[in-house]
Amino acid sequence: MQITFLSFDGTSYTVDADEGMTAMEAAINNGIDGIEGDCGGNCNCATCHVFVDPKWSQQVGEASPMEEALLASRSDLAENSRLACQINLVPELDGLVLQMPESQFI
Amino acid sequence: MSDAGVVIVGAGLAGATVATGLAQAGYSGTITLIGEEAYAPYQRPPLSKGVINGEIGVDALLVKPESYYAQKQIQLIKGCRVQSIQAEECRVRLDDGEQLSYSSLVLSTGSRPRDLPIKGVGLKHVFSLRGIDDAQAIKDALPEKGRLVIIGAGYVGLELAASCVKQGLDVTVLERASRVMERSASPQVSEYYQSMHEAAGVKVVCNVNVSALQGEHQVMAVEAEDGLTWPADVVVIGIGAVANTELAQKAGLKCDDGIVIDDQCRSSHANIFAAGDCTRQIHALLQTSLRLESVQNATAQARMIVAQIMNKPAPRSEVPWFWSDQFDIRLQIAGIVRPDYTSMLRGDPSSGSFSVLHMMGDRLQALEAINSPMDFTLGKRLIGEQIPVNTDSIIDESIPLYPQPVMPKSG
Ligand SMILES: Cc1cc2nc3c(=O)[nH]c(=O)nc-3n(C[C@H](O)[C@H](O)[C@H](O)COP(=O)(O)OP(=O)(O)OC[C@H]3O[C@@H](n4cnc5c(N)ncnc54)[C@H](O)[C@@H]3O)c2cc1C
Repeated sequence: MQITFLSFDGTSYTVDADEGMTAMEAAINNGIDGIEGDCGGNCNCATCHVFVDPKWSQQVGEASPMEEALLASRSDLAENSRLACQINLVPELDGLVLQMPESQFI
Repeated sequence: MSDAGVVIVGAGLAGATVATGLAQAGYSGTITLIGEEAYAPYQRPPLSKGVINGEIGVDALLVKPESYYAQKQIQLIKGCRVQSIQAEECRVRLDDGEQLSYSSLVLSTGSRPRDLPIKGVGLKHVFSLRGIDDAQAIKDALPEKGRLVIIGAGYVGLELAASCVKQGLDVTVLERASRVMERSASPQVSEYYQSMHEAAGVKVVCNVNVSALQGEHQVMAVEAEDGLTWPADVVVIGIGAVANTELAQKAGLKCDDGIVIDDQCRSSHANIFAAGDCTRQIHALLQTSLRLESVQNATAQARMIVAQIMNKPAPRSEVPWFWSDQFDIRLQIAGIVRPDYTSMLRGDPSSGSFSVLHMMGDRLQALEAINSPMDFTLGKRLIGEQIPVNTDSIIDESIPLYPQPVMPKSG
């Protein structure tokens, strides 16, 4: 399956991912800059913040209370905010588009 | 003169974050990342959690895939120890005799398990837990339903205990202090965790001074000063970590249980920076000298160094935070828990979700959140802003921790 990551400056990266991975793993494995994942994908640090393309929000679903609490620490929080480590790549998400916030670029 | 580039000593989380950060920020010189271990930089937290019971594979631990470093023109040298630093000449010497020049040097040498100076620690099946090889060796040595004795009830020891008891092992934790997690958690939290461990079948023994490990070749039992013994198939010693400062000390850098760095992560030598477990720094927000061992500290200091080298604005200082996962309980700590703070309970421990707040007068200084992630996030903000709060409202669970109701001005 394929996932597209959009950089804040509009650059787009489409990467191959395996079912069962998280969106964070797909980004890290493909060397995408803009997803940090400091805690290793444990829903602990909120450095893999992404904005879900509105077309995909239904399929991606909602954040858990743990995730929601971490997202609340982000100053760039938006309606479509999620943590990429908490998006499990199920087949229905083939083609998913995620945008990465500027603050995660050094 | 050409730029000799950045040399980073220690390829753990801090070192990797400096290297990848520099590459992402477009650093034009060479970036060399040197690590003693056989692996590309990896995450240690899962070692005592999912790795030990096989839930997480070793491949999933890498900070970045190995190919990333070459792609970003970072020279990653694995399995190589830096022997010495010639600070005056701006050079390091590697264990194979090669010398590398630098314009900036970053020390991210981490910490290592503290030794327990007693008889028998050299026996087979006695381990500590710091790296992938340790986790693998512990896993291989543990017989099914075997007896594991853990010396030290810190985070690593207790996480290991929780992971292993879940797999049906017979687990005993021996602690010298009068309570578990004594060094960094409050008595309320210690008590909660001890009861959780006991309920899961872990035997927790406090106030015990281990004096020897018994056995011929392989460890057979753990002996305490008072003569009590605990039979063991495997022993793991987890009594804290010491900073790897030897390299820095030999080079004449100021060290004091950690390489002393300023608020820009510079050591006493202007072009030598340090980050992570090996450092000691006066925390910009808390204004106390701290040597922290956490993911957050390692990445925050690393990003500060990237900003310094790239002449970019310094990242904002953050309240230190830490987490620990044991069983299905997530502990999140913000700030530093100190015994001289007044502690207050928010929520009911018997509900499985509560927080312990640590106050200095009317300001929140630290917070331990047990399965209370929103308290953690909002409490961290309250600590950072040091706003005076009303102690009645702060313990009222029906009011979010932030923003707190405005205090009436006292007249
Ligand atoms: C089992 C375990 C569980 C943990 N759980 C958590 C947790 O839940 N949450 C949390 O926040 N933190 C946790 N931590 C702490 C966290 O992992 C550390 O704070 C973090 O790894 C520090 O990163 P670092 O880069 O400073 O050091 P390290 O990751 O230790 O890396 C230092 C590296 O430098 C190398 N090195 C040293 N000297 C030399 C030399 N002379 N030449 C070449 N290489 C050298 C070392 O071999 C090592 O690979 C845990 C740690 C352990 C061990």
